[in-house]
Amino acid sequence: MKPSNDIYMRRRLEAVSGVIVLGFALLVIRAVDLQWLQAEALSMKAEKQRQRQYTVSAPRGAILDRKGRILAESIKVPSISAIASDIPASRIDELAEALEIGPARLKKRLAGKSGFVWLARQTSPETAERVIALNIPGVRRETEWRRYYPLGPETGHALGFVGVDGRGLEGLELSLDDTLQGQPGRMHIRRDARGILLPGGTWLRPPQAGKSIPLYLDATIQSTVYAALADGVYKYSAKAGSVVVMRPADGAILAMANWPSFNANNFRKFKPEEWRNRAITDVFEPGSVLKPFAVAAALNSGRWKKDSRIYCENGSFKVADYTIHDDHPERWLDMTGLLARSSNIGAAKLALDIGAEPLYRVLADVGFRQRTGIGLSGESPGILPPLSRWGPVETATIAFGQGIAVTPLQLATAFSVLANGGKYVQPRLVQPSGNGETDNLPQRQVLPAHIAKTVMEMLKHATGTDGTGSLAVPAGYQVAGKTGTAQKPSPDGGYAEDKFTAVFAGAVPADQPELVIVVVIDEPQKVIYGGRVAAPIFRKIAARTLPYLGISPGLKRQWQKNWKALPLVVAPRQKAAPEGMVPSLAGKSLRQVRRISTQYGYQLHVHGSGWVSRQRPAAFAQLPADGRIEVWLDE
Amino acid sequence: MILETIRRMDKVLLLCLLCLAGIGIATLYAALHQGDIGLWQRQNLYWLLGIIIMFGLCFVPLRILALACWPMFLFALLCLVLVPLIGDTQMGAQRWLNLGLFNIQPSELMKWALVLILAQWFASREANSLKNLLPPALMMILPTLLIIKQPDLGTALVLLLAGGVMLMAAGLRWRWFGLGVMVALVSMPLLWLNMHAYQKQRILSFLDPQSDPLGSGYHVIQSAIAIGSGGLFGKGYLQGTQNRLHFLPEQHTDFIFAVLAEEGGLIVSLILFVLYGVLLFQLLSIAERASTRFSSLLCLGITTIFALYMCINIGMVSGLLPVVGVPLPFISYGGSALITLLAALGIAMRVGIESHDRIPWQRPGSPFA
Repeated sequence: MKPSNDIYMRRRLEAVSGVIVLGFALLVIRAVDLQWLQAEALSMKAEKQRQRQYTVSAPRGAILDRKGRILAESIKVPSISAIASDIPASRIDELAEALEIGPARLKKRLAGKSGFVWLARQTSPETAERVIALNIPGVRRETEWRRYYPLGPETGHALGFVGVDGRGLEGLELSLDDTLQGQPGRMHIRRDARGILLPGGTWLRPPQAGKSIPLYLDATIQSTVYAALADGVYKYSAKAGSVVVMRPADGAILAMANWPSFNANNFRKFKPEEWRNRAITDVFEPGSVLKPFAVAAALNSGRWKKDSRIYCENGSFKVADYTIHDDHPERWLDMTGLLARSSNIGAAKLALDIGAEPLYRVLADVGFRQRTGIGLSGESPGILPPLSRWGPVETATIAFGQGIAVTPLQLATAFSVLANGGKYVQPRLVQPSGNGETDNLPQRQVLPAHIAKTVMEMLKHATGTDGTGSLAVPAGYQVAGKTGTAQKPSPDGGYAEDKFTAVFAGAVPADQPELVIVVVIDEPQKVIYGGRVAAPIFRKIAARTLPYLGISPGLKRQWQKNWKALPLVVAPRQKAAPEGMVPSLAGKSLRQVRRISTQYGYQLHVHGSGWVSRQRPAAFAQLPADGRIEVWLDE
Repeated sequence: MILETIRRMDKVLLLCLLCLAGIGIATLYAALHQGDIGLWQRQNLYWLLGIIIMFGLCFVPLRILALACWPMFLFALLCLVLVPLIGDTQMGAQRWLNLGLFNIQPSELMKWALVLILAQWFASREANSLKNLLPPALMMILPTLLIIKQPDLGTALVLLLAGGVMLMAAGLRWRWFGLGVMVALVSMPLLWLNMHAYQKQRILSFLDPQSDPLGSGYHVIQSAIAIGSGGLFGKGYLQGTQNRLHFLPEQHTDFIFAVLAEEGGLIVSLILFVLYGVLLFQLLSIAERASTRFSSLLCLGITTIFALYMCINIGMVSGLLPVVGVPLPFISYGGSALITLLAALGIAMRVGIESHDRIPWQRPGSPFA
């Protein structure tokens, strides 16, 4: 090689090395820029994309009965979620099998999605276990809260239910949603690029459980009422029925049940019309049960006295062009007889005598025509025509309960006025939370006390041996109540020939009313009379509830008849402790155990999950005074 | 004879390679230790194989290599032509050729074949006449077009730049060189029009990565975050959060520099630059003292490809250049790249062994002499 060429080569090589040095200088500058000057900003960025805020749902507050027993509570259940784009297509069949759904359905659910998808919400622990064991990328187990109602259909309407997202949808769950709802917590969790959360994390704000709410409802009474109602509806092949049990003194609703009911634990299996709480949403023409109020209005007007007699026209009476009939034609009846024989004509003539306005005022004052404000959505105000539309025919018919429509709850409230010595008390399901609220109980005097007392006295006779409501009387007690059998209005005007509503409303014990019970049976077949259909249900409920509440039978009747059927053990008043032996709980599921303990009022303490393997105290041992039972569960 | 060859091997180069091998194996372990550790074990096997080949080539006289120029170039060209006809398609590009026993990437082969053939061509010719320049220009442009068609812009770029540097070293007049650069600039819009959508997207997202942070800009943003979050001293070996939590894409192949920079910090990045710099400096000095024009040009071509790999890869990972598929020499996972690089290093060492020149600072006229 020529030397000149050599030098030439070397100069070219120097040029190449110069370019390389330049290139490396750029790289060094960039490295210093990124790793020194921008290091802090980029570290923050890195930290930020590793962190995810994660919402942790809070349990909803429990709904408790009068004695603190659980009517609705939230329990932890697993759900399966997924990041749709992370699931490998090859494992979809496997996943579908574990989820127990068709592969086509699963594919449809994942199709076109890349982010978060629920695969199974609130599923069984076994399913969750099986799916997670497959270890499919992107599939994750979440913990959700599911609402559980130990009494199921018995409390269905009063409590309502909660949607899968934890918001109340019906009943008390809806109207008390703001209180029951907890505060969801937020958590910082580290995650990787695939979105898989790493264990551990720090709370930004821990979840706060919702507040528990005590009701006036009593689980025992509610169960009794539901059973008696279901029995009665079945016996008379009726379409539906409602019962309201109210304590007149403070307006406490101790039970509110409807048939048909629905099980709130799987409310989706029922039709939306079965979710309707008939006791507050459905109106019916009350018929004869309204007569006590017509009598009260007559006495209130001063034109009629307790022992005034009225001519009942021997069963047929014409008002304008409308003829009123009595089932049992009568001539002369006093006020007591009018109610006991349930004379339409008598009530109509009373109303026509005192005029529309006084009757209207009494009916409006005892609560018809307005919502009771019990705190449930969908409540109906009933139908009471405005005074301007009351002609003689309306005045006459409304006096015996036609042309007016009320809800079972309104009727119970109205009877409470009579039972209360003329005081109107607003019915309430929810116990007041503060201590100050009990004092300003919303009540007002709407009838003079002596008139209410007089009507109650008369109603005692209506359930006497010769009255229409004799079947309503439980052994040992006196009942002040009234039957009603009303033809149902037909959709095309007039009244249906063969459709009736059988009603019984009454207060018990008659002298010092502790309970007002209203039984409404819609379209009973075979037998239609309130005295034959609704009154026995009333008796059944009263006979079981009064001893439970510690209300002893009146001494007067104690030795008269059926004394052998008298309850021998009367539970002491206001005491929750159950008596007797501890039942054997071995092998039962948590649900069964909770149900039993709710029914009998035990204080349950649970360890573990699965089925009961051990309990303390042992089965058939004497129940401890505090009712405390501990159980250990095993898979 | 054998002892003499071993004695004449470039010890600085070997030391440098040893350090790079250590860093490379350690970094690859960090990148793979949560995933497929089998790949790491396989890469160690490639290292062993590559070093055996490297030392083997130290004993092959360069004149035998010169004989292989034309067959190798023609074979590479044939393979390139076959690729669109019977090649395998991987990730949207047709780059691979199945030769039964193993797959080869003809474009990879072509790089080295082009360096060899250009060194051979200009060994006895000056790059100063059209007659001497036209055939090498064809040798460059024909494979380049075939590679662009595949499409593999990164390799085509490396091919053109390596060829250009060799032409320059062979004595191409600056004005011709300038003309070439102008032609390249003018053909840019033409190239843009013929580019695939994903290639345009890569360039656009290089200019503005934030325009699509989860799509085409994802690689660039994530690697910049990983490198930057390493800071001056790094997060510690096996402690890189971005790497371990899978935020880094391709963390064991093209983007492995981000793993190294995240876990080692600026310190280790600079150590890597220094090692690379020493390696290139040694190679350039071998080229300078080569005994023949052929060996000098050959060594320069090899040096150029090394330097291009380093600059393009690190430049792309740190966001200075658009994303093209170029491995980081001695660090990235990949058997064929590692073995060919080591083989090329062996050839360069053979150039050093055959030169009778003294090392530069011992020459007359050097201040150290």
